[in-house]
Order: sequence, then C-alpha cells, then structure tokens
Amino acid sequence: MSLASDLLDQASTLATLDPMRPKQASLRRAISAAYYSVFHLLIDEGARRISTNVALQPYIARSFQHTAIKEAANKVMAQSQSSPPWPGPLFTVPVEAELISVCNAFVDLQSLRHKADYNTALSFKRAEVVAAVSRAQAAHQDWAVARASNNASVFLLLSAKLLPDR
Amino acid sequence: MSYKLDDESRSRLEDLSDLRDYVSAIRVQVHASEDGQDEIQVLISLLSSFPIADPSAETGKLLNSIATAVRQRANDLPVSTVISFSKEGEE
Repeated sequence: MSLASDLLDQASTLATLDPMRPKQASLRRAISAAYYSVFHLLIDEGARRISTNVALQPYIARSFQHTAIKEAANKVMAQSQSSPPWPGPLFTVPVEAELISVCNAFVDLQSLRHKADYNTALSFKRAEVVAAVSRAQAAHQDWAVARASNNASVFLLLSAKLLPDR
Repeated sequence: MSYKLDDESRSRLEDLSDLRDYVSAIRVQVHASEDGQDEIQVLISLLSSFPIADPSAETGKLLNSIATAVRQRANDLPVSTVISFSKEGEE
C-alpha cells in the first residue's frame, strides 16, 4: 500500500469513529488525512514523471508546493472558459471529466484542511467530514482514469512549476 | 477583502434548479483565503435524505459532480471558488 492509500484508509476510519459522539479531533484529522491522501497521490505521480531515478523521487516530491498545485488545479478547471488562462494551448480540450473532478476535490479539500488544522472556532459535523473523505476516495478513482492523459501531464508540470508563468 | 459579489452572480450560484434531487440550499459568501486572496465560499446543504452515513467513492463522485456544476457557474468571476458540503439540519 502507498502512503496515499494508507492516508485514505486512515481518513475513512477516523471519520466513522465514535458513532454517537464523534470527537472533533477525529473529524479534523480525518479531513487532514483525506487532503493529504490526494496531495501525496499527485506529488508521487509527479515525481515519477519527472525522474525515473527512484532515489531522487522522494526529493522531487518534496519540492511540490500546496499553493502551486491549487493554482494548477484552478487553471485546469478554467479551461472550459471562453478565454481559458495560460497554458490553454497546451491542454487538450475538452479536459477529461475525471481530471476536472480530481482538481475540484483537491482545491476544496485543501481549503477544508486549513480550517480543520488551524481554525478552532469551527465545529465539524460528521456529514461534512464523510463528504470530504468520500470526495477524496472519488478523486483517487478518477485519478486512476485520468493520469495517463496529456492533460494530467500538463497539470503535474504546472503543479511542479516546470512550465513558464507566461 | 475587496471583491464584492453582485446580486446576479449570487443568484446564479445559489440557484437550485438542476440540483433539487440532492440539495436543499446553497449559501455563498466572499472571504479571504489562507493565502490572503479573496475567494467565494460556497456551502452546499444536502437534503436530509441524502445517504452519507459512511464514506464511499460513489457518493464522492456525485458530490464532485455537484461541485463541478456549481463551480462552473462562477467561471466568469475574477476570484477562485471553494465549495464545501453539509447536511440539511446539521449546519
């Protein structure tokens, strides 16, 4: 099992602990694990695309930044606009629904993860946490479909900041 | 926070017409993200009958498709959109 898969399993377990009175700590960690399962899914794939040297891949994965992946995901989702943002010409349109779904989930889970880890003024309900974990599970499945596409490659290169800003 | 959402865009984002089988309400607000950028926060309230007791990829795919549909309504707006789900009566 990969780290990404283990984190996804952990998120599911934490989201369903204590059926009657879930602890906020469990719900918050479930959200965080769900986000990081998708994050590691993407950066592990990105590292493998950039170098076949297995010893180098963990270091390449470490260089990916959360904000850069979010910006890349937003650019993927914006390719359906009448004037899509750079690097529009590098994408093959229409962008695969599965890749758009992964990008949707990533952006939303990242925002939710910030709240879960840092905003103690909020109280999380189980339904919103189960929703988040479910979206991460779907993202894993959709990535398995989308990962071989040209658009997935452009997304990963953008995420790694290996394409010019234009 | 400098971005102000106009009434027409808000109405478009909160429109339930295609989502009534799953969604009871959509609420929209503008706030600052963790990196200080204005963003549109969309909270989608699922019907109380929506089956969401345990995590499942099937449910996740439906939620991601709802999120995609709502996010597309904000395509022409100059700020990014973040979507989260809750369940009717549990907000």
